[in-house]
Amino acid sequence: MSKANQMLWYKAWTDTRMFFFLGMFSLIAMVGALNMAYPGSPGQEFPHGALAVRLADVRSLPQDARSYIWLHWFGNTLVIWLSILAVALASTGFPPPRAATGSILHTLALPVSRRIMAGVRVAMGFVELVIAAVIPTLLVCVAAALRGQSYSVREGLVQSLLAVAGAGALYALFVFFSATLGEMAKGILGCATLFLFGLFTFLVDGVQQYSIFRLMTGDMYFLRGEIPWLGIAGSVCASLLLIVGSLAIVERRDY
Amino acid sequence: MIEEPIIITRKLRKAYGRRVAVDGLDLEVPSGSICGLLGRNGSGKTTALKMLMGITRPDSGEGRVFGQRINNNQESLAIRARTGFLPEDKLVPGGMTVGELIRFTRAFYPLWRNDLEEHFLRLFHLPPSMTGASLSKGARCQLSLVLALSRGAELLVLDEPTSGLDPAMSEQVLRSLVTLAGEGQTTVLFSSHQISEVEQIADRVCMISRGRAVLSEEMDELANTYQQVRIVFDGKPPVSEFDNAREEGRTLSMLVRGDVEEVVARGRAMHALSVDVAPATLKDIFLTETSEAVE
Amino acid sequence: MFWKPNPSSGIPIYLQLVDQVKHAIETGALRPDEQLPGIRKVAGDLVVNVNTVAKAYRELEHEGVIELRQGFGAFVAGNSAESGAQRKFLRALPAMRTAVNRIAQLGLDEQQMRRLFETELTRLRKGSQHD
Repeated sequence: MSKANQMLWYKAWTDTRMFFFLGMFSLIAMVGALNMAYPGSPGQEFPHGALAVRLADVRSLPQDARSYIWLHWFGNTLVIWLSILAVALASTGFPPPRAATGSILHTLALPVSRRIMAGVRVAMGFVELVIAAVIPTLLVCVAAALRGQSYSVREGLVQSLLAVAGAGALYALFVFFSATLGEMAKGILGCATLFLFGLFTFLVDGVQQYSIFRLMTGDMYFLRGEIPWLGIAGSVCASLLLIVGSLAIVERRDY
Repeated sequence: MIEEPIIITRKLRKAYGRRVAVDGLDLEVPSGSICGLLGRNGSGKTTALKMLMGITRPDSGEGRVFGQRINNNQESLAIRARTGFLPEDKLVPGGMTVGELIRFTRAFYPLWRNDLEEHFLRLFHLPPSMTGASLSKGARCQLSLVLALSRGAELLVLDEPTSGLDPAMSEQVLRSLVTLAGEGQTTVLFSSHQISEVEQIADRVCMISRGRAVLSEEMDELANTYQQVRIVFDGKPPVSEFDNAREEGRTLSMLVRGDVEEVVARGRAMHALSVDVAPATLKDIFLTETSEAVE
Repeated sequence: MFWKPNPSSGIPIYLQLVDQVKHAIETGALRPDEQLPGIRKVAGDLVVNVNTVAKAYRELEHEGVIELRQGFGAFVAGNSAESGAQRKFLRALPAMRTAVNRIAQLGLDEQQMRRLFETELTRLRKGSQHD
């Protein structure tokens, strides 16, 4: 290959390697999780898809639309995508501290306190998160009705708000990362954190109940109508702390 | 009646890790003046300007704009309400269109000058519906200027206002600055790499080198303070007898600050063949005062 | 009416403006008692600092070339002062001619003569008494 072509390949590599490494790391970590989660002795249950929901609970569900929707929508799709949205919303608009680009400088030179500016930004992202959880969920209920099935709107709302409670904590965490870390560190630490949560969910039985993903799937509420107040409280507290901390940090930062 | 300078800093200092960007900067900008800030890349100009705007916080030292402290959150906000800032990187928020950005910025400045906004929009032919992210570099610079200059601000802090502009546009921008300052309500502090621009419109010059002010004077005073002196000798020139002298053959050239008669007299006393004194250009002064040669 | 001054020439801009006004008077572009363009207008047209133009006008007034009439503006001085400026110019001409001829006879070229002139001007400005 000519030197020039070699250089082209090299540049393509440097342009993409960050995402590549993050993805590879994620997948390799999943291998570990997958392997470790396989039951040691035969006949034991293994996880099936819906995050943090025990198989025994799944087996005992009736084969109806309500269970179907819970397993696939609240237990899987919404959890995953709302989490991704939370991370994405938290990651834009908060530029890394040192390499300040001009666009943020224009805003920083305005006669507004940084706390207000950043606070509004954080609030908007959170509102968008809520809407993104609630509206599609309502659509799910409507769509079910169109097929002659039903999923109670009230339950749907409660479930979606549970999902928001969990996603909100993720959002707050990544807001905090954005306020404090550079791009690279943020990517790495963010992935690592998500994996810790994810791995715990799959692996450790005792801790499973504290998984944030479990809060988001709301299995206690679905199965027994019990609202996990403790989980909500913990999530809200953590979120508030992280947000307040982020705002304080942004206030003091040099750009 | 002597007014307080609109900007005063004393021993302003800012370090990033071990790199000291601003190292004890003393700056004074009189009200109503056009002050040109000259300095090489990395001299600390941009950091100094950002500190004035409260975007970066000084490690030590003090600064006041309009009498308000730059390192106090409340007072810094008050400063920003009366100041138009143009950052070095003329990037604008990418999500909004030109029109939206102007409306957005206008909302923060009750004294916004619609006449200036119209004047610049006409001058620059900015397409109102293009988003910030899709503007060309020149257009971005122009938009940044519109946003900074239309605020009806009492003070303009502009980091390289003509960078990215063609010569005709640059001249128009300089004209606007001259007119604004001439109206009496506005003070202008601008940094530039174009020495001729500073010579053209500034009535005060400040030079920064390695984070410190090496010169801060009225433009008119410079001609009295700095001269180029060339002394020709009949043989090897006594280069060590003169500060900052360059030796070329039998000639010594130097930039003299202050007492030029003394230097001339010394030259003659050493039996110089000829002593020439000529006015120093701002470029000469800049190159000498900001040179990073070890003394 | 005025050329853009050269900011990098070493000659202070206000002096260049002073010269231009005088030249305008000599060539008839400005007549006695005629009003000069306003300071701000000149500053805007030439893109130079308002204070610089103001300084030029003050200098011209000091030399009697123009009059600053409070509330009205700047005017070329009436007949007597204008021809006074012209008279001074004409009277200085022979002295200059003699000097230039003599120096040229010494074999200096134009550039050398200019540098010589510059040196002497600076000395004059400084008001020192060198040989």
